[in-house]
Amino acid sequence: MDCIGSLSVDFIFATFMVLIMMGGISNLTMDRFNMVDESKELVEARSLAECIAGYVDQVYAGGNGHYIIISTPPMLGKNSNYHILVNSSGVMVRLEGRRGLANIVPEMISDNPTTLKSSNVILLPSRNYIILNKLDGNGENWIVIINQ
Amino acid sequence: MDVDGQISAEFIMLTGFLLLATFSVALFIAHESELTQAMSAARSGASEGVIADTQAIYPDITFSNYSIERPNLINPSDIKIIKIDYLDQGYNPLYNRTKIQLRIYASGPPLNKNDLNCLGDRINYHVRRSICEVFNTQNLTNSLYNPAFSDNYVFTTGDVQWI
Repeated sequence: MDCIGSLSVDFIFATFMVLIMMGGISNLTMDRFNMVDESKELVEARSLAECIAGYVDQVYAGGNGHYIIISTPPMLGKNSNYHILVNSSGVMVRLEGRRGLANIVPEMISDNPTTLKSSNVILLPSRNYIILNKLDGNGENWIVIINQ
Repeated sequence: MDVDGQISAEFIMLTGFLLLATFSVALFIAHESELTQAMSAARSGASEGVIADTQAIYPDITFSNYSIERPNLINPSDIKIIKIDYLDQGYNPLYNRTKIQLRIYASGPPLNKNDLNCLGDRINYHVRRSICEVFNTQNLTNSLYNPAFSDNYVFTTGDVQWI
């Protein structure tokens, strides 16, 4: 009898069973991967906002002339575009229709070191920024954030 | 008489019986496996909901509402899932499926009841969404994924129990 190339019934049956099981868990696996990606994005967003808030507070506590240079990451998570808004209320991160706020010590924020006018400063991805503590004529400390 | 290729009646009966038994067991396992998969999806969804709550990064509209009505929820908090339980509520003729109520037990920050309900609702939403995504039944339900469907079950969620 020619038995070359024949497969046993056990093998075929086992293969079918494995294929059916894999089909069943594939959606579950995809869901887990999506969950991890989405969670990573949120954690990175929170971490970035808290990190910048920490730098702002640190510069404020450092006094006149103290500064820190920061670099913003090109994206959050796998491929999420974002921007950060800094004002006297705190550091707000915005990404893909979501946002979160990190609190800072109430302080005056400006994007112009000469006029020192209170404003909302927007930080964009892949840029370097200088966070500077500057004393104005009235003896008040300002946090100035400028693109390097 | 040509006797090659003949099999006995006993063998045919035995094979038939075994096939019948195998298919019955396979059906039972598939049914049970579906519930196991749904519970696994529920755990995955609960984790996603907990991360959304703990990181306090919300959709724009929710964030605006919380800023005014629930400022405590704007800050990150510490939440842990203790366990996920289910209650089989029997066959539901409306949905033509067995109804299962999921109950999540969690420990959370010392907030008032309404704030905790908001955090719990988000966990429940992600649980139901995860089940719908795993079984591809998003088209059968509403925008809140309530209830969530699998092939043979319909899932609802009770209020999260804060311990």
